[in-house]
Amino acid sequence: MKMAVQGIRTGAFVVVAFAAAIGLTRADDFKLEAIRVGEPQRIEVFPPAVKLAGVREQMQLVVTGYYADGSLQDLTRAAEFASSNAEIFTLAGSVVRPKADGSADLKVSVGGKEASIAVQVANQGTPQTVSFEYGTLAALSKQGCNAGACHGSPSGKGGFRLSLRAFDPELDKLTLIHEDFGRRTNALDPAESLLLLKPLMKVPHGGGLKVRASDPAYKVIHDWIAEGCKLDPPEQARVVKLEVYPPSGRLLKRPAHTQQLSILAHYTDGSVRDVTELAVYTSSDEAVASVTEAGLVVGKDRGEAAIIVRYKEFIESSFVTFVRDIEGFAWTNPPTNNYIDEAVDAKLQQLKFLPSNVCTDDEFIRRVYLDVIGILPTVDEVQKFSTDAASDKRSQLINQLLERPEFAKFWTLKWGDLLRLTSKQVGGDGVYKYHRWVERAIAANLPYDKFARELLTARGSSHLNPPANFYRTAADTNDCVETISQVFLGARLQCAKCHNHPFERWTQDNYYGMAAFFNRVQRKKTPKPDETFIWVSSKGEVTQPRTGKQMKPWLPGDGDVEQAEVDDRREIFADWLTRPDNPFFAKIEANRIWSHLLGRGIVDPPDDFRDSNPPSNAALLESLSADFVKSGFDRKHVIRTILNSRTYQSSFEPNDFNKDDTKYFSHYQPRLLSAEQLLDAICHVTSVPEKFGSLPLTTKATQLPAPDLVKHEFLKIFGQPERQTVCQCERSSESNLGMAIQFFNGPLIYNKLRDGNNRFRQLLNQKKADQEIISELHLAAVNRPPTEKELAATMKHISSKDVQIAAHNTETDVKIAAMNKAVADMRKTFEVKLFDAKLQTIPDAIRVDAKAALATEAGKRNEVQKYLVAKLGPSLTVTVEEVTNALDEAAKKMVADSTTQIAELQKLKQAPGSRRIEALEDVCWALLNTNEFLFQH
Amino acid sequence: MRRLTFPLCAIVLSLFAQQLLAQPAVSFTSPSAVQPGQTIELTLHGTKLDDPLQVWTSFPAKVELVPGAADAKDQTTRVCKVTIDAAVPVGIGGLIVGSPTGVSDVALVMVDDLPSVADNGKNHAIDQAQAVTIPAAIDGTADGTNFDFYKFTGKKDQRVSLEVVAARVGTPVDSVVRLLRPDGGELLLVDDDESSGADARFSLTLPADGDYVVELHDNQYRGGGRYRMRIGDFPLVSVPYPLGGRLGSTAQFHFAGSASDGATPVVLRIPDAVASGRVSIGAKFPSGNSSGLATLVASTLPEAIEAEPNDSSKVSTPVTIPAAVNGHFHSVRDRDYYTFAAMKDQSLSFRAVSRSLGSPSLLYMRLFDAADKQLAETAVNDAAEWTLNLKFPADGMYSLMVEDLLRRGGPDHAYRVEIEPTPGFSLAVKNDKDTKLQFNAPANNGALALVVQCNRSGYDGTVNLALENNAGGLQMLNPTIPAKAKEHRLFIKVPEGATAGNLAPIRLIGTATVNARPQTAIAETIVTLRAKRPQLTFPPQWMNGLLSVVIGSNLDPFFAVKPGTPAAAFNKETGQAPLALTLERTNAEFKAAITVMVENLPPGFSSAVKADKDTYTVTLTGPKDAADGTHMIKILSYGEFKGQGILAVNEVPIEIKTAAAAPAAAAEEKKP
Repeated sequence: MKMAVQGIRTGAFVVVAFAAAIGLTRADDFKLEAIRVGEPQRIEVFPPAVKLAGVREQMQLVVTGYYADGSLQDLTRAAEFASSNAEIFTLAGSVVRPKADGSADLKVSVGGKEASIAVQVANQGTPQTVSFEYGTLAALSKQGCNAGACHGSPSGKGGFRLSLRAFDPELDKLTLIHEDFGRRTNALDPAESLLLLKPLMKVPHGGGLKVRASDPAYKVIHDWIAEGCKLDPPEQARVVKLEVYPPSGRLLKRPAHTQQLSILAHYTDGSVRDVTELAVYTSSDEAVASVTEAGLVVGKDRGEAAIIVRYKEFIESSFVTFVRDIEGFAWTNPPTNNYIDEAVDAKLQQLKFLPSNVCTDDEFIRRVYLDVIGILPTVDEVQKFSTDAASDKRSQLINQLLERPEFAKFWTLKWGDLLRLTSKQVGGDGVYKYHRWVERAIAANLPYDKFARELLTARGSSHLNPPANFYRTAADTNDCVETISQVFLGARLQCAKCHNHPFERWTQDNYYGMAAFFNRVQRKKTPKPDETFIWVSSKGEVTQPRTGKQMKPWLPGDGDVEQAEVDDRREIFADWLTRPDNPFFAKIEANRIWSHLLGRGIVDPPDDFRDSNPPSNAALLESLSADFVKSGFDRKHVIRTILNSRTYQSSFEPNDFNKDDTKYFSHYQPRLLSAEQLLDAICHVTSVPEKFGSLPLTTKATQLPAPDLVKHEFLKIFGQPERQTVCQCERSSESNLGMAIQFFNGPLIYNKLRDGNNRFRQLLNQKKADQEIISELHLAAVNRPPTEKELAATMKHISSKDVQIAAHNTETDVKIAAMNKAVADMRKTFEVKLFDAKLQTIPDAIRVDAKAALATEAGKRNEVQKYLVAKLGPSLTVTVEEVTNALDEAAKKMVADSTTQIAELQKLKQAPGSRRIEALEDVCWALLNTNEFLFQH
Repeated sequence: MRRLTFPLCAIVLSLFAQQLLAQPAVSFTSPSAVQPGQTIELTLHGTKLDDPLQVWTSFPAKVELVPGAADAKDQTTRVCKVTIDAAVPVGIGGLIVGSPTGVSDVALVMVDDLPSVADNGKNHAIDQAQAVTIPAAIDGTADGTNFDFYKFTGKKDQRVSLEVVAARVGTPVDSVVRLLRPDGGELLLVDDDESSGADARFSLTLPADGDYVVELHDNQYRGGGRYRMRIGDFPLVSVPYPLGGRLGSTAQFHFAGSASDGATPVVLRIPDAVASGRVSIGAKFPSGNSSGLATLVASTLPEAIEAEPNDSSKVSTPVTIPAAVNGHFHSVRDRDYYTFAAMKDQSLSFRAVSRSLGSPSLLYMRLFDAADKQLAETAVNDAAEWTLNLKFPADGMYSLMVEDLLRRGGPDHAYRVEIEPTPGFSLAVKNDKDTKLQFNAPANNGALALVVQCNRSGYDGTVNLALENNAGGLQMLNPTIPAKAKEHRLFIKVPEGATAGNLAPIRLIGTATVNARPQTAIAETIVTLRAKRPQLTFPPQWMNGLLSVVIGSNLDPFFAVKPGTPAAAFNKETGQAPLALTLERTNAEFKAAITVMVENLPPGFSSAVKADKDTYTVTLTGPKDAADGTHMIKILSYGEFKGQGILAVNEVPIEIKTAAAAPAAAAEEKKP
C-alpha cells in the first residue's frame, strides 16, 4: 500500500509566531497528521474541469478519495498533480495557475488511482485589472483591516476609517482613493503606499503587522494601486453566488482530519472564479475544528463544526463532522421511544458517545414537574407516582401535567420574558390583560402560527385586544424588526441596522426591507388612561439611511415583495412567517421548547440562529420542526413528544463514554432552578407561601405577570430578568455571592424556617415521628424518600441534640447543686451561731457537764449538739424558721436570689427531644442547600 | 329634566371656617340606581350631609329627603326617597347636593329597570357564592384579591345578558368576569368591551339547566371600587340606529349591537330642546323585562340614512348639506360614500360621532372631488372622534368616504357624521389645575370667576355669553368675549337678595353671528371632567359644561378697595385719567391678588389696570375732545379666598373738564 505522508514543515515556530501576529491561521499552526491514503476505490477531483479566463485567475483543486467501506477523505494534501503542458498552466501545490492560452490536461494521482481533468486557459494576452470591490476590498477584509476592532469600527482607527467588512464600497472608495488627498496610495511606487507600508510595519502601525509581502492580499492591493486605484466599471459583472466545495455534510474520521475547501464566485455574466485565497474563514467551534487562511479545515476533536466562508457580502458555510474511534466504545442499541431518540442516537453513535441510562422515577417526577408546570410535586403526588405500577405512568403523568392550569401559567412566564411583559412597557392595566391573553392562549393550546399571527398583526386597543401590546413593547419600526427577527426568526439583527451583519448573511438592506413591513404601524393614545391604540397607516415607506433608497418589503429567502400594496403589509409577513415551509419559524420555536426542556438548545443560544452557530444535531432539529408543522404548530404535541423521549428521560449522571459531551444530549444536563422556580420550591418545602404585592395569595412566583409588579430581592438575586430585551440571555443563571448568602442565612429562608406554621411544625403538631417528618421533608424537597444513610445521619443529628440536652442539664445540675450548697453552708453557719446562742441559755451544769463530757473531743460541736439534744430534748434544735429569721437582711437577700436562680436554672433544664424543632430547622435548611434541591436534574 | 325638590332653608352658619370645612360630598349611593315607575329609598353616602340640604338630579325625579336627627352635624349618610316616572329611560344620570356650606361634585346614579341587590360581602369563594334571583342588578364592591361570586339559577336556552356598570360611572373597577357552568367549568371570560370599554359584558343562551356562578374581580386586583352588575334578558346595545334624531321630530330607532338582533324598535319623540344634545333610550326584546342602555344625539340637523349600495363614489348616498348622515359598516372593509354639493369657498365641517355613543368605530374620513381626487383626509390624533374641515375649491359635487380606521365592520359598527358649515368658534372652560366646576358663592357679596377659552376658526368677532338654566338669577359682569380674544375671564355675581342654600347648576352658552348665521356653543368642560375622573372615558353629555353653583352663607368681606382720590380727573391733553386704588386686606390670611375691572365707562373710554403689590392703578383713556362733565364709573374688584369669591364695588366719579388757560405771565416766569 502506497502511503503519501505530508510531513510537518520545519521552522514552524517562526511561521506560527508570524501568523499569530497578523491574526490569520496557517497550516503551519497545526500538527497535521499524515494522510493515510490507503486504497481508495476511486478519486474525484473538484472542479471536474478548469477554465481560467484571465491572467489573475487560478483554481484551487480538491481531491477526494472514496473507499470500499463507504468512507471518504480529502486527499488534496497527498495527491500529486502534473500538467500535460507546462506552457499552458502551472501548478503551485494544488492550485492551478494560467500561463498561456490553450488547453491541456491535468493529471492527478494518489493512492494508486488517477484522474484527469481538462484545463482551458484564455485571455492571457489581455490585461486584467484588479477589481476594486472583489479584489481590493476583499483583500482588506481578508487581512482584517476593516474588522470592527480595526478600521471598520464606526470611528475608524488612527484617522483611517473603512466600512465594516466592506459593506459600503462608496465609503471605502472615498477613504482609500480620495481622502487625505490620496496620500494612502502611491501609484508611481505602489510598494511605498501607506496602505501597504503600515500593515507591513515598515511604518509604525497601531494594529501591528497585518500583512506580509507574500500574501495574496498584498499582491492584489499592490497591483490595484499600480493600476491607478481604478474603480470597477459599471458594466462589470457582479458576484451573485458563492459556492463552497465540499458542501455541508462531509464526515471525516481520524486519522483523516483535514479538508481543503475550494471557494467559487459565480458572476452575473455566468463566469465562475476561484476566490479561495481571498475568502475569509472562521469555524463555529474552534475546539472541534479550525480553518487556515488558505481554506484548509483542520479537525481537532470529534464533533461538528460549521466553516463559515465570507467573501464580500456573501456568506456560506460548510458543515464538517469529525469522528474518531474511542477505545472500548460499543454501541449498546438502547431502546428508542420516538424519532427524537433515533435522531439523537444517530448522532451519538456517529460521534461515539453512549447515552446514559434512563433516570429514576424520582428524578423523572421532579424533572417533569419543574419543566412542565414550574413547581415541585406534592408529597402525595410523589408517593402516588412512586407506587404506581403502570408501565405507561410517565406518559400519563406528562398528559396530566400538560392539562393542568399551572402549565399555561408557567409557560406564560417564559413568553412574558420574550414579549417584554412589564407594567412599565404596557401599563398597569395592560400588563394583566396581556398576561391573561398569553396564558389563555397557551392553556387553549392556540396553534403557534395563530399565536404569532395574532401578535404580529395585532391592532386596535391594547386593552381590548391584548396582543396589540406587542406594538407597545416594540415601540418603533426598528424595535419591531429587531424584536420580531429575534423572537420569530432567531436572528439578532441589531448589527444590520447600521451595516451589514459582520458574521451573517443579514445585510443592511435586509434590515430595512423587513422594516418596510412594520413602518406603517402607528400608535396613538385614547381617552382611556393607559390605553394605546394600534393602527396601520396606508402610507409610509422606509428609506435605507446609507443608500437613500426607498426599500421594498423584503422577505428572507423570497426577496423583495412586489405586490405589497395592501391594507396591512404585516399580513404578508405573517403569511410568509407561518408558512409550513418557512425555514425559520417552526425551527425556532421547536428549538426554544427543546431548550426549555433539555436546558440547552439544539441551536444554542436558542434565539441565535446563524450559520456560524449551527445546530448540534441538524437532523434532530429538522425532525422536530417537521413534526411541529405537521401537528398544526401544536406546542403541546412537541412538548409531549420530547418529554416522552428516552433522551429527555435520560439520567443526569454521565457514563464513561459521554462525560465529555455537553451538546449532543447523551445525558441530562443539570441546571440551576430559575429564580421563580427556586422561590416556589422553597415555599413548597416549607409550606409557607410568599405574598406578592397585591396579587392573590395563591399566585406563585412562576405565575407573576411581570417582574416590576413586585420587587422581590430574592428573585432579583437569582436572575429574574427585568425584561428590557427580548434576548433569553437576559435571564441570568450565573452564580453569585448574593445567592450563597441567601441560602446561607438570608432572611427569606430564615423566616420560613422560623414560621410557626411551616411544614415541620405542622407535622410536629400532628405528633409525627421524626422519621416521618424527615421522610416528608425529603419527599417535598428532593422528591424522594431519604436514603438509609441520610436518614441515619439526620436521626443522629436529632439525637445529638438530646446529647446536647443531657450535657446542658448536667451542667445546670452542677450549678444548682453549687448554689444549694452555698445556701446550705450559710444556713449551717447561722445554725451554729444560733445553737451557740441557745447553748448559753441552758443550765451551766449541763453545759459544763457537756463540755466536760466532750472535753476530749473538743471542737466537735456537732457531737456536742447531738449530745445536748439527746439529753435536753428538741428545744435545742434549731429550726429553719429560726435560721431564716436570724439571717440578717443581706444574707436573706442572698438566699432569696439564690433560690430564684436555682428556680431559673431548673427551668433551663430541657426535656429530652425538646430541641427537635431546632434539629428539624437544621434538616430543612440543609435540604434546601443541597445541589439536589437547587438544581433541575 | 331636573328639579330642585327640597324646601329651601335659610339657616345660615355663622362661622366662616365652618363653611370651608363643611363642604357636602356624595361618594356613592345605595342602591346605585333608581327605578322608573318606583319610589326608591336612596341612601347618600358622603360627608357633611347636613340640613338644609338640596338635591339636584340630572333626570326628572321627585326627591324627598328623609329628615335627619335635629341639628345633626357631620352626617355621612342621608336617606331620600326618589320617585321617577315609568317613562324615564334607563341610563346614567347623576345628582348633586348643596347646602349653604357648599356644593358636591356630581355623583353618578343609574336609572335602571332592574331591581337592585346588595353585595353581601361574604361571597369570596365559589362555595360561598351569593344567590341572586335574576333579573337583578347587584351593587357590589371589588375586594381586591378576594373575588366576588354570585350564583343564579338558569334554564337551558334562557337568554342571559350581563353587564358591569363601573367605569361608565367613573369608579376605578376594571371588571373581569367569568361565567362558570353548573359543573364548575368556565363557560366564558369577558374583560373589556368594544362598546362599554372597561365594563365587561356578555349575552348568551344558557346551555343547560342549573346553577351558574359569576365571578368578578378587578383587573389589577384593586379593592374598594364599586360596581353595578346587571344580569337580565336585555339586549347588549352599542348604539341606536339611526344614531340621532332632529329636535322636535318623531322617529323610529332600531338598535345596533353584538347581541341586539330582535330588539324592539322604539318610536321616540325628540323634545324640542335638549340642553345636553343627548337623549337616553332603552332597548328591550319583545318579551324582555329589562333594558339595554343606549344614547342618541338630539340636534337641529336634518337626518340622513345611508342607502346601500354606497361603496364607491360612483355608487353613493346623496345628501343635502347640512345634514347628519347615519351609516353602518356592515362587514369588514366596508366603505361608505356620500355625495353632496358644495360651493366655492364654502367651509364645511364633518364631525364624526361614534365612540361617545358606544359604537366601536373610529371614523376615518376622506373627501374627494367629482374626479375622485382626494382633497382632505382625517388627521389621526389621540381623540376618539375626529372632525374634518375643508374649504371647498369650487362649486360642484363632492363625496365623503368613511371607513373604520381599522377597516372593521359588523353589527356594532354604526356611525354618524354631522355635516354643517364650519362653526366659527367653540367654547371651553379652561382646564388647568385650578379649574373648578363647583362654586360656593356667598349670598351677600358672592361672585365667581372662570376662564372661558374661545377656539376660533375663521371668526374673530365678539361672542356673547349667557347662562342656561339660570333660575338663581346669577349675573354676568362681563358677558362679552371681545373680538379676537382667545381667552376670557368671566365674572358672575350673586344677585342681591339671593337665598343661601339655593343650588343652581348652570351652563354657559355663547352666541355670535357667523357669516350672517346665528351660532351657539356651550362652554365645554369635557377635558376637565376627564382629568378629574380619568376612568370616565366618555362622561355623560349632560355633565359637559355643567357648573354647579350654590348660594353660600353670608361672608364677611376679606378685602376692601379704597380709591386714592375722591374722583378721577381726566386730562384732555394726555387723554388719560389715572386713579389709584389701595387694596386693604381685612382678613390677614388673605394673601392673593385681586382682579379689578371698570364698568360704566363714558363712551369712547377704555381702561387699563396695573398692579404694584397692593396698589392698583387704573388708567382711563378717552378721547381728547370728550365732553366735559362728571361720570360715575364702577370699579369692580374680585378676590378669592379659600375657594369662595366676593366682589367689592366702588363707584368713583370721573371728572372731564377743559383746563383753564394758564396765565402768560406765570408761563414766562418759569422760563430760565
